[in-house]
Order: sequence, then C-alpha cells, then structure tokens
Amino acid sequence: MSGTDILRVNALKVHFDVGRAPGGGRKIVHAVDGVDFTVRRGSSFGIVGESGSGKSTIAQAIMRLVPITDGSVYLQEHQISGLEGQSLRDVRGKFQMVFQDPFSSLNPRKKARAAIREPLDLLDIGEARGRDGVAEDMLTAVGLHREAGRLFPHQFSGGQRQRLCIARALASRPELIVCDEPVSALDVAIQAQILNLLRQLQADMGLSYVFISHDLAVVQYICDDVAVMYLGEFVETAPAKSLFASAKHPYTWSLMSAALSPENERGTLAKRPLLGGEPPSPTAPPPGCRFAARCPFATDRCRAEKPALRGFGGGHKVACHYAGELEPPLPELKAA
Amino acid sequence: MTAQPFLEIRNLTVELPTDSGPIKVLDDISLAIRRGTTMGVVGESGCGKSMTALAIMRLLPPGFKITSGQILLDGEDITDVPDARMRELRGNEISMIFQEPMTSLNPVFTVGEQIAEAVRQHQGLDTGKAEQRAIEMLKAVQIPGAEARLNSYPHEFSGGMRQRVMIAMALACQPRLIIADEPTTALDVTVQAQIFALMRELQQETGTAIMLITHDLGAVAEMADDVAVFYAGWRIESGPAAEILRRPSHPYTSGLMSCTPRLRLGASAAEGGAALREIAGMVPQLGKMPVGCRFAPRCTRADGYCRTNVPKDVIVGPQHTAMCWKAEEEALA
Repeated sequence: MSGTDILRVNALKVHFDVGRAPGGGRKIVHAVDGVDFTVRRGSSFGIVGESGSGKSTIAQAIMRLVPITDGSVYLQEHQISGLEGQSLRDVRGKFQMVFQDPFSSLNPRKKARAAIREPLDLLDIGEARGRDGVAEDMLTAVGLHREAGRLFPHQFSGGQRQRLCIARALASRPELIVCDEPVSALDVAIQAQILNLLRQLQADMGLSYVFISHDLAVVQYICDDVAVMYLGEFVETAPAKSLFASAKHPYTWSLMSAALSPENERGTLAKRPLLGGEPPSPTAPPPGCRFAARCPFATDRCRAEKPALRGFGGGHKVACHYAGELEPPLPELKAA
Repeated sequence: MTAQPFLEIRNLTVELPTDSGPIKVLDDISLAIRRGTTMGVVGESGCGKSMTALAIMRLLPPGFKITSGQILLDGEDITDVPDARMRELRGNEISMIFQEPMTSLNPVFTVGEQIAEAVRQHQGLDTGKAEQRAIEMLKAVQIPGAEARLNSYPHEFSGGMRQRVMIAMALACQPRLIIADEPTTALDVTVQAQIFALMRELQQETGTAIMLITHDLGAVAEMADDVAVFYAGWRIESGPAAEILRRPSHPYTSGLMSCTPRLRLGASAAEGGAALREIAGMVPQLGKMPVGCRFAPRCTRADGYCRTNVPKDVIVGPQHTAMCWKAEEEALA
C-alpha cells in the first residue's frame, strides 16, 4: 500500500446464509460480491446505489460489524479484516462510524457527554479524568455548546443529534470515518449544515471518509472518488470529476436521469428514459451482467458473459461490455 | 384565478391545548388547489404541512382542534360536516397516500382484499365487482400479472410495488383530490421517478387534483403547478411553482433553494461547485414562537421591525403572495 492510502479493500465479499433453499442446498445473499477500492488519506470515497445494492454492508464490513466472507480490509498497515478481540480494539479508535438515523443511534438514557466519552472509556484512550474535557472539546468542534453535554438525546433536534453522533465518532481521534447515509434523515436546511460541517472537519483534522449515500448531488458535494454499486458489485468507479463529467455505465446514467432538481422544468422526468423494474434478488444473481435485465442496451452477450471493470484512463473504470460505445441519454454527458 | 378552486382552505387555525395555554400548530393558513392540478406543499419537518393534510381529512391526532377558518371542498364547507358525510367524502372525493407503504397497508390481508374493501365501503360494489375493480386498479398502476398479484400479501411486494398498491387504493374510488404525503421519500430515486411518472399519467387520465406534500424542491419542480411554502405553522409563500422556484420572494424559500445540493453533470462537473449556503439555526419550537416574524431569528435580512411585527400575506406578483416585510417593501418599490 502506498503511503498516501488510508484504507484498502481487496476483493471484499460478504455473503449471508439465510436458510435452506427450496431445491436443496443453502440460500445465500450475495450482499457484497468482490469489491476493490482504496481511500487516499484526507479524501472522501463515495459509494452510491439503490437500497439493497450492498453499500451499507460494505460500511459494516469495514467496521467489522458483519462477518467478512472473503477478501481483506487494510487500514494503513493494519489488516483489520483479520483482527479479533483486543488487537481489534487496539485499532478501533482509528476508524469510527456515523449512522443514518440519529434517533436510534444514541442511547436515550445516556447524557450527551457520556455518549461522546463512551468510546474513550471502552477503548481506554487517554486519562480517565481528562475524558469529560475531550467530550466537551468535541461538542464545540461540531458546533454545539460545551454545556450541551449535560443534556439527554431527546433534548436535541435531529440535526443536533447528528452533530452528537459526529462528535462521538471524533472522540477517539480517528483517521477514517465511515458515514452511512449521514444526512438522509435530515431536512434540507439541516442537511446543508451537516455536509458543511463534515467538509470543515475534514479540512481541519485531515480526516478521510467513506461516504455512503443514495443521493448523487450529496455525493458530488462531498466526495473525491465515487463508486456506483449495483447488486453487490461496483459497476463504475472514478474520480468524482470524471464520473459526473463523463459517466459511462448505463446504470449510472439511469441514476443521473432520475435525479430531481429545483431548476428542472415541470415534467422533466417524463421526457427522460427511465429505468423500469427493480433490482433482481441478491440470493440468485444472474450469470452475466447483473444489470442486464433492466438495461436498455443489453444484448445476449451481456446476459451470458459477466463484464469486468475496465480502465478508461485517469482511474475511471467501468464494468460494461459496451462502455465507451454507447450513446448517453443525457445531453449534458454527450457534450463532454 | 377565474375558476372556483376544487379545494380551498381559508384562514385555517389548528390548536393543541396544553397546560401553558393553546399552541397554534397551524396559524391562519390559506391555500387553494385548482381542479386537475398539482399543488406542492413544502417545508421542514414540524412546519405543519402534514397537519394541514390531516385537518382536511379530519384525521387530526387526539387533542388537536380546528379553532377557526374553513375548508371548502368544491364549494361545500367540510370543516364541521357530520362524521357520516366525512366518511362519504373520504375515498370518494379525497383520498390519501402516506409516506410509509409498509406501515399503511394491513399485513394480514391480501392487497386485492384491501383495494376491494375501499370500493365496497365507499361505492357499495358487491364482492365480485369489487375484485374486478381491484384488478383494473393494479393494472392501472402497472403491476405485472395483476390477476395473480391480487392474492399476494404486502410483504411479498417491494417498497416501490407497495407504493403502487397504495396509489391503486387511493385511486380506486376515482377521487377528485389525492393528498400524497411524501409518497416517494422512502423509495429509491429510480423508483421515485417511476412513481412520479405514474402519478402524472393517472392525473392526465382522470383529471384528479393532487396535493403533494414534500420536503424536496426538486419534486415540486417536477410535479407541481402551484406551490405553498410552510414555515413553523405559517404558509409563508404561495404561487405558481415555476415563478417561485425561479424568483422566490421569501428569504426562507430562497434559503431552501440555496441549501439544496445540485447535481452538476458534463462540463460543469469539472469545476469545483460552490459551497452550500446554510440557513443558520433551526426551526423554533412549538409554543416558543418568536413574537414578530417567525423566521426572523434565522433570516439574514431581518431587522428590528421584523422581530416585533407579524408580517402580512401580501401580493408580490401574479397569484404570488409572501409573508415578509422585506418582500412587501420590494413589491411596493
């Protein structure tokens, strides 16, 4: 791993055994089916996709919250996919997580200060006497008052609660924060505040983020590199500028086509080619390209032969047999 | 506006009595929805947009009371019609689509039974005819294999399919107004696009009016003819959607516009985007409302006058009104 990389994920697979299959054998959910990526120090790596694509499972696998079926995860020199018990706890402070729902991810019976210092207590970081002070410093870092530490979660609004969750993630001075849909449960005005806070903390502390979202505009605002995920696999991955300037995978196009904007004319979606159907079941992924069943460009080759991620220069990779040959449906992408 | 609107809300106030006096959760709200058109109702959580829908449907939570104002449906004052009449109106004239398709369907009945129940209750169809109608409706919302899916239970459907079932139920009695409360918020963007396309198509066929409650200005731009912006129990701006999205008059509306991240594709993606503007602070708590303009504490343009005087709803353009002292000054200038 080069010195500038903070996180490296190799051929990560997370499969869940969900019981007996009707015709004998086991039913396996292929939640994450072989993904590779690296996160550069101080940068944000975004993962977008629909629900069920496996993006949250990647987050949980990095955090070691679900068992990893195959592959490896390195945080700097530590192979965190192989650590257990105390040795995992020793590096736990370096990578922390912010969850989607700030209502269910805070213990209602713990005051804010206790919630923020809990990781320090559990991981035994720093002097016990100094931990309340650290917790209060974290409160100010996320834009809350030091005194707010004496309040219970229900005394905060949704946006403030998400600030608390960020403060808790920051307490152990992590280098990497995994953010799983951190603003999806928030109102737009509050969403803007939290997004700007995440950007500012990154600039101040040199944090790296793995940022998971279904919202392309939010990902574009936060991320340096982006992977588009479909049914357990990356279908396109590129530096954000390259992806949004010249996306090449039909699935990425369909996410872009479905995006709403206040500037759009009424009925814009109606004029765009929209994706029909819904993703197939991850228990029995199709043999060829997993997107073929919904892809307007799919051929027999797509249904039979699985496309691999191919490079298009500048770190832009696409898993589509016809990438680069197809006509994008959005006029903005044609010009580029 | 020449034609009489299908739904008109005049100076509606809804209060919740508390130990420390009544709290106005809706304060003097007026809005009108024209036949066959879509009205977008936008605002942050707690602003009163869902409460307005519940007031129209007479489904306010226990304790909440309409204390003044009128709700006119096709000219009929339904503010305090008898419950029996209200039951006739619900389903037949107005129906509602909720945000969570999982919790708003009954898990122990098949979707066919649930759609059929609506038409049996409201239109008095017999079992056979009701089932026929349920099949038609499932076809109308483009559920493949409608006849077979009639006997499926809600858990056998995906989120998008369940929302289609909800729409089928809402449309089954051919209501003239559908209230859709965040109908796509729980869905993926690609499915959201499908649902919006479906709603527009059905609106063109049936001529139903839609009240679309949403927090997403993008959804308003896509769907709405008119828009009403809510803030802290006030309707602070209303008018034609295209006009308001292009030239918002109220500082809150322009604040919402500027804090929505925009997707930049093609050539514009190469430039680093501008930083998102924020609306500082947060929505005031119910019962702790500021004295003057409720938005004044967060408003960059507010002055001493704004903080002490409640703004009036003034006309700032054709069919465009805003509750803001500054907008009034500009309109007069």
